[in-house]
Amino acid sequence: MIKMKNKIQLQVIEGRLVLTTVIECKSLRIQRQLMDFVVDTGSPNSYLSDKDVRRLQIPIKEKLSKEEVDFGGSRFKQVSLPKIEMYLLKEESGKPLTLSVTISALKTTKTSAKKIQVAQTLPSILGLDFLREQKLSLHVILTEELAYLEY
Amino acid sequence: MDQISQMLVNGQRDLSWFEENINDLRMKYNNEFIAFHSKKILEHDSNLNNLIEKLTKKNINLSDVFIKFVSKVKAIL
Repeated sequence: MIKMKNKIQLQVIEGRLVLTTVIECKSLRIQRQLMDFVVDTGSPNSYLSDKDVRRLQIPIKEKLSKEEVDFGGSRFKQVSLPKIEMYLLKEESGKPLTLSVTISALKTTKTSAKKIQVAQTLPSILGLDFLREQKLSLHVILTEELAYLEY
Repeated sequence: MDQISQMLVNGQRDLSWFEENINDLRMKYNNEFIAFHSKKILEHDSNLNNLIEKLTKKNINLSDVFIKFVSKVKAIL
């Protein structure tokens, strides 16, 4: 019997592959929250951007930061977060797929208003660790306007 | 359709609307953060904290709102 694979649609927004999700994390007091992530195969890891950390009001000040990372021309502190529940829309059934996702939070090291603004323009990203951990494959045929994750 | 699926469908629609209108949005809100929902701009500000404060003061539920920075200058990751 041939097992059919399921697809999750990606959108191309501002020239980037974007995955629409709803996230939830009870230990961080994040209630169901609509979020968009850029799927970035150039990044080994997944990050919640400084913008989304502020928007979600994640209290990361007191949390221990890992090594610093450079991303999009800015330097950030990287903070480990508890696992986050992520809901994705299955293309065939229109029902949500639930994943438990490892992700770090980014906090800019900059202090000047202009540099903070630049750091906050960067999106949250899902890197190769997300595809590996969730056993997802990425399919992109831009000439056919086709982009999706398969599991 | 359950609540989560509805949020996801609406979110995809809002992002499509954003993409379709990106050039107009860049002209109108250059170098600002914009908050949008249901294909409408709810608020805008060049400062993210100010924008979140404006939304909170209006009692806008942030759970299904997108916040994006728009600029005539293209950003590369």
